[in-house]
Amino acid sequence: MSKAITERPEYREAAGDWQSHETAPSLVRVDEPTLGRFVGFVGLMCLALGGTALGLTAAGWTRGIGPTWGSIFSIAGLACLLFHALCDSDVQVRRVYGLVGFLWLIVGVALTALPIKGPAGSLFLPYGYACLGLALLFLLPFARHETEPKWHRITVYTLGGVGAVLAATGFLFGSVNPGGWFLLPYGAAVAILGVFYLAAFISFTGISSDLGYLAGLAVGAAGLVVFLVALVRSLLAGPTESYFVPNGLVLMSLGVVYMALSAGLCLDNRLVVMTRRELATFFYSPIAYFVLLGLTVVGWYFYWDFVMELSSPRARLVEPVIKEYLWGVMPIICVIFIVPVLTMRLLSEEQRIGTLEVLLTAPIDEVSVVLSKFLAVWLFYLLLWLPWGLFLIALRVGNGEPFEYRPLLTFYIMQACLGANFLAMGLFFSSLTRNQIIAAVLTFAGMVGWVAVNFMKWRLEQGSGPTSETWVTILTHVSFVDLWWRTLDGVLLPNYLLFHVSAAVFWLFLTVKVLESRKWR
Amino acid sequence: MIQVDQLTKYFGPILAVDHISFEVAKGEIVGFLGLNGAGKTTTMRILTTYLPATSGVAKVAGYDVMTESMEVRRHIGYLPESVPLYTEMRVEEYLHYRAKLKGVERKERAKRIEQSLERCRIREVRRRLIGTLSKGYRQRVGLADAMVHDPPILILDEPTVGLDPLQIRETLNTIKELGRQHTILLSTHILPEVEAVCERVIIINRGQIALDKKLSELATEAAVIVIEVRGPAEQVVNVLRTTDGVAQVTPLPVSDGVVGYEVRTHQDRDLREVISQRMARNGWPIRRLDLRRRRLEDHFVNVIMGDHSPFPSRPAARESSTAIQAAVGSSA
Repeated sequence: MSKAITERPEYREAAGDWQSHETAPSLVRVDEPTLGRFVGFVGLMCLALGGTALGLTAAGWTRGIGPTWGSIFSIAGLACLLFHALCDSDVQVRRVYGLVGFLWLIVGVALTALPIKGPAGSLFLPYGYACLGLALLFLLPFARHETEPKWHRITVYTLGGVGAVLAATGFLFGSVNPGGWFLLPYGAAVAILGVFYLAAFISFTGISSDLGYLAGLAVGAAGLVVFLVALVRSLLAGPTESYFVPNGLVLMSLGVVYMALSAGLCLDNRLVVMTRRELATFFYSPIAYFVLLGLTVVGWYFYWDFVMELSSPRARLVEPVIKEYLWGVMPIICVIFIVPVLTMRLLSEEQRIGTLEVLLTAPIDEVSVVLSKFLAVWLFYLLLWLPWGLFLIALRVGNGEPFEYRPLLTFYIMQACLGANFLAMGLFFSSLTRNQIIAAVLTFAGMVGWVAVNFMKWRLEQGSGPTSETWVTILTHVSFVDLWWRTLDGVLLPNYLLFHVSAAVFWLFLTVKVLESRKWR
Repeated sequence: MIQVDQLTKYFGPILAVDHISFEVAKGEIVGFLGLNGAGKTTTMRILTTYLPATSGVAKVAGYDVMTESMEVRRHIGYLPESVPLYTEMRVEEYLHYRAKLKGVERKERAKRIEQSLERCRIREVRRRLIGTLSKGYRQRVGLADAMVHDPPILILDEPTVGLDPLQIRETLNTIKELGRQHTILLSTHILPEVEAVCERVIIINRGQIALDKKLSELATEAAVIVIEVRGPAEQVVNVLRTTDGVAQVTPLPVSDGVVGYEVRTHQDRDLREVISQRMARNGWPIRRLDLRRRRLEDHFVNVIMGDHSPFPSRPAARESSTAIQAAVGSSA
């Protein structure tokens, strides 16, 4: 976005001569990118080593480093080179990397289009695809550093063109292809890569320019069309042929991703703008990364445990098998800790440093302030659970056996509803105080309260009599541990989910009132 | 542009603002003065719709702050006293964000941001994290934010607190420059600043307006002639009193045979020449004869202290204020 702003002489003159020339507050020392160059050098060595090993293996040479270490060296080498490309803007260095990027692009296209070892396209996955991905990674730093307008423009337009072609290919062939074999995996893969290319194009062009803005809108429109077509076809499909799974679902998800990209980049709606900032704020602080890493590690451990269980000879393969994976005390404990960590900062920080005052003297009402914070933290929460689902793709691809996927869908819907309730509660507690710690402690206490409901229920179940039965029924509705367990059977429990959603609405309402209370205190 | 009528604000039992009324016309730069806790910030918060008034009406740009608060917010740029900013954002990123929130058109945005960066002289730090900036630079980022949507009215709460002398000068210049197209209400307790940039001053004391005058009026009104003469006290007083146009004569403490008086005149007439002639006719040598105008500080102290001893003399402060005014004047 910042790329859109170039110094234009007329603004400098407009200010008149009443000011002396502006000087920076401090001198800035231009550092030689020594570290970057060293890392780049090491990367080149690694790549050469790994590439040689892979080449020898391909030529039938079996001794030596071997393909595993060869791949590891190659990947490490590429990573080091990318790091160097990112931090060194010297003209020779960046041009070389730009050239490398274009070469990857050409190689990728050639591998896809030329009939090498079979018909055209047989090498696309994974080789052609990997080349296209690497081309993007190398062209990004080049476009960022390049100062000559011509080359910058050519690179950016190349990114946009490739992105448009990828997206169009993925969506058109993915939708039209009669057998349905194209979309998974080719169409989806191509469309996902296209998103990144297009995002790069739009952010380099900037939405202040008409081109970038229109491109952003076009991406959104494409996503909408794909989504609607997939939705209609899913609804129209007869009971015997299932279009919704997987093609309809994949296309609809891709459509949503494209629309989200467009909305995120182009929309000037205040709610969107604020939500985007809030989401970005999570990634400015290390806590978000710790939480993301922590939950992914826990997920990975559960997945590993689950795969071990599945592969053991005495495994009880009763559907839904993934209930084993998505259920446990550990994920629940994680939620109890994650919610306060994510929400404690939201409004308390804003009150402590006083930014709430500038926020609420801009033309924004309290409802959008609260909603934007809630939406941001909720989206981040869902993002936290994404790796858990992605691990299952490995199971599907590696194992080759289909499994009952519906519990996964209900699991995510359940997480969305539960998360809404808990995060809205955290947001409310965060609005009460200027102190993050107090907010966190209150939220933690609230979370413990939700868990305690379950213990109370178990206690009451052991008793007898009509009173305790009534209470058990009530507490079952409130208890989220019960809900978690039962949704993993692949059933949606609308009345239970609705309870949590309405609780979320209730917390949000309270939060808005707390913010408004400065007016009648 | 700003109309305030009988505005009152209670915080529980504390009366922060007590039935104040004033108006600010289009294009005026008005200084809002007062001691700490006099009600300046509260009034500004009411005007910016952050707080509601307990009673009374305030209109900004023709919109009522209570009932049409969104319209009011679109027409003001507000710089709060503490200059709250998101420290984890970069300067330019922050201004982009604020411009979007304030509804600056997509095509206008880059240009508007560029102009505020230029005006507030923060182009050199545009890519820096706000958290790494010094107090003065943050102040300027806040000012840039206040004007990024080109509002007709700027409300600035102590805009020069924490700045170095050069920055104060530059900020005041910026404000003066802005005053050509904007209506500005700025609060401060540094009086020379007000004298340097404002056209009008409103002094608020214990929640009430104690003074509301144009600086040009203040400068001309109630000029006082100070005279020191070697002569018999009673006769000198008599001569002064009988001079045509003299309203009031107050004795000043002067020693060793010299008597001193402050002479107030009707309709600000400058009677120095007449007085010197009459003194000379009586053979009383004049040691001092000059015309002293009341400075803003005298008014301020007068109004705040409720002190009627005419001119508390504070030569040091007066000199510094003159120096600043001269500096601003020469650069403008």
